[in-house]
Amino acid sequence: MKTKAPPDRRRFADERDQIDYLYHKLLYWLYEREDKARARIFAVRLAQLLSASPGHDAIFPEECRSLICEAMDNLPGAVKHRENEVRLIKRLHEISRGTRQQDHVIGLYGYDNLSDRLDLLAVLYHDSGDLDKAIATLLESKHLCKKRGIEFDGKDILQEYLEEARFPASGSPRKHP
Amino acid sequence: MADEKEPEKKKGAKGGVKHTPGRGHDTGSGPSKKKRFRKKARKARKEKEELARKLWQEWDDMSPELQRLLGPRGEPNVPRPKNEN
Repeated sequence: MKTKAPPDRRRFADERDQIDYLYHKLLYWLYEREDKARARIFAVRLAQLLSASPGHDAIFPEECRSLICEAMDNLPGAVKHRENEVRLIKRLHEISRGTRQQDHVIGLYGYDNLSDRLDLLAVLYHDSGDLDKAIATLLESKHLCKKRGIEFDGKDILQEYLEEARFPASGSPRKHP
Repeated sequence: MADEKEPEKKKGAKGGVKHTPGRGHDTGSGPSKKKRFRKKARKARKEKEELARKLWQEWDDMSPELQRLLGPRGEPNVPRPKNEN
């Protein structure tokens, strides 16, 4: 069963509210419905807003840019921004470790989020034809999940990619989870 | 007497204002009720302000790098209290 699209809105409290709305719309059409034509409509609007808003070197805009590139069929751009996002989340964990704000930070970007982003990055590597990097990234995600005691969501993708590496002829570009 | 006409029937709604006990004067509990509601509203407003102050304090205590990484999305989703010192 397909889930419902986020409800349409025309009024927003502020820029942040509108960015959040467009982000969820883009996620829905890109990953849930796999309809790039619809996703592009929201990607264009989100890109315009992001270029005008502050906080360019934060984690969230990097994620948005990766999604925008993906919707626009710009895989190298999507990989670059997703890599940046993962790097920034790791840095965030590193500098917040042992501080009073650690719980707050982990609440916003936890280890499950990091694992999720690594899985998405692995799919992007795979779609760009870099199977080795895809497998290495999934293994990193698996290791992280084991270390932090959380469930590894990329089991089936990893299995698929390992089989693809073993029998290269049977491999075909995979759709997103 | 055949010429005598019957009086015309009254039309429209009958009677006056419906009987409602207490109409025409304020209840005795009115002022105390208002006082109670005002107190409750003040308490709720104060709690909300305290929460906002706490969230913004947490945000202000973060290092600039942490703030930069979290960006505007990491900021508390409540307006900053006005009379903050």
